[in-house]
Amino acid sequence: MARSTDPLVVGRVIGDVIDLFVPSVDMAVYYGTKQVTNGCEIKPSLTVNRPNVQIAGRFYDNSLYTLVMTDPDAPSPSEPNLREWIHWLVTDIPGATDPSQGRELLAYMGPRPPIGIHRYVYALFKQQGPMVMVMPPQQRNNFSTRAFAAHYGLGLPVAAVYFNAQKEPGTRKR
Amino acid sequence: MSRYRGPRLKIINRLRALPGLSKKKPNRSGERLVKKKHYKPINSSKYPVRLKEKQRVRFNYGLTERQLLQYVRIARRAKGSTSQVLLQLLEMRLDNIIFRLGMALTIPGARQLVNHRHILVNDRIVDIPSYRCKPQDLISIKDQQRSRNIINKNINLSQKNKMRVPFHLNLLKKKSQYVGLVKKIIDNKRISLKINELLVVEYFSRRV
Repeated sequence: MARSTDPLVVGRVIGDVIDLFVPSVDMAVYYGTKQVTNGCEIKPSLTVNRPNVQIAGRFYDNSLYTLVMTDPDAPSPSEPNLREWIHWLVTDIPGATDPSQGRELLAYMGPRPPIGIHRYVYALFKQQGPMVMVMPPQQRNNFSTRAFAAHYGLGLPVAAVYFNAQKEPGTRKR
Repeated sequence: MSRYRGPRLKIINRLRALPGLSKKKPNRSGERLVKKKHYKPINSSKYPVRLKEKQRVRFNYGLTERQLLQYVRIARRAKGSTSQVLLQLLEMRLDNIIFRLGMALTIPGARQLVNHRHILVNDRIVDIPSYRCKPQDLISIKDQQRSRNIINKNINLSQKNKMRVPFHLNLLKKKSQYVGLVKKIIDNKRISLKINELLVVEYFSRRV
């Protein structure tokens, strides 16, 4: 059996969060100057403020997108009984813009991993049209990206990226 | 590096069966009777669970705390799942590969073979048990009657005990001499030690 080299497969993002898909849209996520690449390590202190997300596309194309950010390793990777913890949910993002142009259903919450190395997944879905009757999740825990996409007919993601983060050691005062 | 020289059965009774440390089985009959407390602790911590799993890995592979911490750091820097990379690093150690080929009955036994310069990797003597093997490495025995006798005896014993050579390794017999070949990096499903490697990474997550 050939071993897959797709970082989303190796990092078990495909399987735990989303199904296998073919990327069709370019999405870039930046925390300050640092670009998020699959499997990269970012300190939670750098992710307090919402990132700059750039979605490729054409202005005259009336495409709308939904962006979901979740943590499939909450509260700990060995026992993820709160999987998935949703950190951010934005719908109706026009193509070639960023999430500030969309409708924020759930405000951004920075990663705060209690223990272990957590994966934080950004999944971008293409909408069929404007999402009218969308109910924001009542709670952040036990969210399912798959179920959400199926419920609103979003299909498979068009782009995804993930990064790792873990609790930073406290500064020891002597 | 130092290694554990203390009682093995005590460790096995505490941490369950460790195929690398000893062939002995944990004895349930010899356990002391402890009065069971009928109340549940208020804050049931996950720390002892993580500690126990870390100790299982450490004793099974015969590592010091510092060595294991170093492996976790290397695994963290590598691409892919940290826990999977960690187990692959541990499984590709020379002493572990000799044990898995059946040339030694335990990992401490394999360590001794390596230390006493009985083992050649790609026709060169390697006396470092932590040497990291790569795919296509050829592991052979020193061309000495004493070395051959020790290893032939061990291989016969392990074959009698129906120990299988894992899929990522190959044990060949060339001119009445055994040669081991590392075919590829191990697949995590094939690891003999039943372990939740995520707990080990979690244990070290605040120290890395």
